[in-house]
Amino acid sequence: MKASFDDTVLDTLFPGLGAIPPASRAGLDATAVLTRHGAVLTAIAAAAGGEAAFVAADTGTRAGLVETVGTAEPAAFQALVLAVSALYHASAPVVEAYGWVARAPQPRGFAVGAPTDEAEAAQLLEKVRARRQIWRA
Amino acid sequence: MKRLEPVDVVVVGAGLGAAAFTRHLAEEAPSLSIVVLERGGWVDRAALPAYKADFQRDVLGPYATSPNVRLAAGGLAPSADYAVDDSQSDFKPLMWSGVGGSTVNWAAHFPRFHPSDFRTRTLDGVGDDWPFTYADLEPFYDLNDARFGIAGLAGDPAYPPKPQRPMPPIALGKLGMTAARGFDRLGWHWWPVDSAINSRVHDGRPACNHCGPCQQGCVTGAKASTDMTHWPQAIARGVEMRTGAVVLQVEIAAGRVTGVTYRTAGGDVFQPAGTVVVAGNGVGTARLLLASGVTAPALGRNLMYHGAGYVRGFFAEDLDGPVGPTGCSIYSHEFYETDRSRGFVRGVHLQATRENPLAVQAARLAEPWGTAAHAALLREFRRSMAILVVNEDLPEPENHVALTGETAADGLPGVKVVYRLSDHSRRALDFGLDRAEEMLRAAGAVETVRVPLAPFTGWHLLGTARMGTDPATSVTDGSGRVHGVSGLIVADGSLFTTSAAVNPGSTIGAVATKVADDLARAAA
Repeated sequence: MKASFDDTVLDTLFPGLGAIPPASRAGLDATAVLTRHGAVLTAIAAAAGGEAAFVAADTGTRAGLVETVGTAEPAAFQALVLAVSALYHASAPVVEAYGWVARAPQPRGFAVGAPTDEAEAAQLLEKVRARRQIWRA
Repeated sequence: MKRLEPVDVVVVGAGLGAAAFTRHLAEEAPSLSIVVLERGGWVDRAALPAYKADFQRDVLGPYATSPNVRLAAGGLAPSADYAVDDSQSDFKPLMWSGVGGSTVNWAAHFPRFHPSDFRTRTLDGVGDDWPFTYADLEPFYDLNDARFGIAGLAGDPAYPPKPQRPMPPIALGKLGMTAARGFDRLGWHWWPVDSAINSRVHDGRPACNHCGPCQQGCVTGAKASTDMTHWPQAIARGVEMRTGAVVLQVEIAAGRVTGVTYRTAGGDVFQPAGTVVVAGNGVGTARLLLASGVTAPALGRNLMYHGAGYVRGFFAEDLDGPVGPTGCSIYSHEFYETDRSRGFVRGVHLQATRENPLAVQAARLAEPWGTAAHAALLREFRRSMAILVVNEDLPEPENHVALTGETAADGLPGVKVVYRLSDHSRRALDFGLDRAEEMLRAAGAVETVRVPLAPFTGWHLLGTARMGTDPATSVTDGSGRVHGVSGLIVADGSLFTTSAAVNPGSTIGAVATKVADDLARAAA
């Protein structure tokens, strides 16, 4: 039941949407985070009347229970959310589902700008240059 | 306690101010023996996050910009962080405590102050005039620019003429061009920023390849940081750098310094010196001087960060995504100089900032979980631009750095910052946020969201050992020499009499270079 409960909490925090996978299927290693923030999970289970009851509840009910715990213990809940969010939004399936590339920024880097930018910027800046001085002596 | 052989000058810290000071002093006074004591270590660029696919996790943990967050994540060896009690501060102090200081993880946006920034009392009746003018500092700005290597464009009418930059601006990209068109439609000033980032191969360092996470350290060396631009040159001239050296006390006897006591892994050491130069930023410098019994009434007072908030605009089309140097695109000084009809004096700086990685943007959502989080991220990721609004934070004695009364893990007294945003800053920021919204709409944003205060922008730690002529209201003279303590000098942002409304790195470097020049002339 524990694994199922943990997955259900994760999926309540970060459910799937279209091509975006739910947290339990995003390849997260959330064990350490869930252990560190175990008190919040315990509070969620208690609010539901037990882990099994939380797992069995419908999606809306689960979200409501989690929100209740978040209201009662805002700092602890926010810490859990931020910790899971960091794992989730850094995971390759999620990054790619949001239309970005899941690779290290280096050594390849990224191309920025279009060939026409420099000429357009220079043209726009002519108007600015024409103001001559806007600083105060 | 071990007592070492005396040296002429001990420099405490190895950040921007210390580097600019030491490099210049080593060049101008080569006969002086100079030792640098740095609590942290050298950065291993190969170990920085940008080589890792999961780099975003480091951004929010061990490589966060806040030392408190890094400590909570277990600490990071090259930055010997100390905890700062920021529970009474609207902004959270950000810094790096290792060789290079905060230039390791800065954005490298490199504007100068305006001439009016040095004369706020005379011109606008607020703050205080600096003990020197823009014209006095200009040669040191030029020298400091050359030592960092600046990408930019000459001809900006918001400033007196500056030397031709050796490199063109960093590519503006879709985001920068979109912002430029917005400013243009309104007829407002805009200009590509001066960046301490190579846009071309320069000075033995490569061109930026727009990888994105500048603030977790630059792995290629395209972004200037003083561990690359200043310290190797200073060390080549005989300066000795000692890392892992936590200075506990500036020793003072009969009104003059005698040296410093510092802690190493091997025990405490006394280093005698004729001159002690403290450059630990506006928090660290005040902490050490207070711990050393310096009694100047203004010491620790007048802490200035810069007020900061932003407006995020959402666009129908893709911009660039999380690429390119975050803080280096374009800016506007349309509203920088005083116009009393706005209801406040001094001005605001508007700056287009590039997008953050997905996990960082997710962490900043108002509703950070559930389907609402997905909806918000789908709306903004790759399609948003933030216009950062920075205002001139005026010096106020009640905003301060103080000791906690307890001994911290590093052996120094604990330190806290107390800071509340003033009504003046609030008015200025609100005005700037209105202008940012106006610009974003003109640029084509379909929706805007206002963030009135951005707590994690506390990079600029200024004013806590301010320069001036009156020992009752200042800590040092115009050469950084502490009133009433012979041989004690400050060479960092603590010296700032006022804050201007732009990033201070360029001015910290110029002022520290001037302080070194003054010392070299006095020693000649």
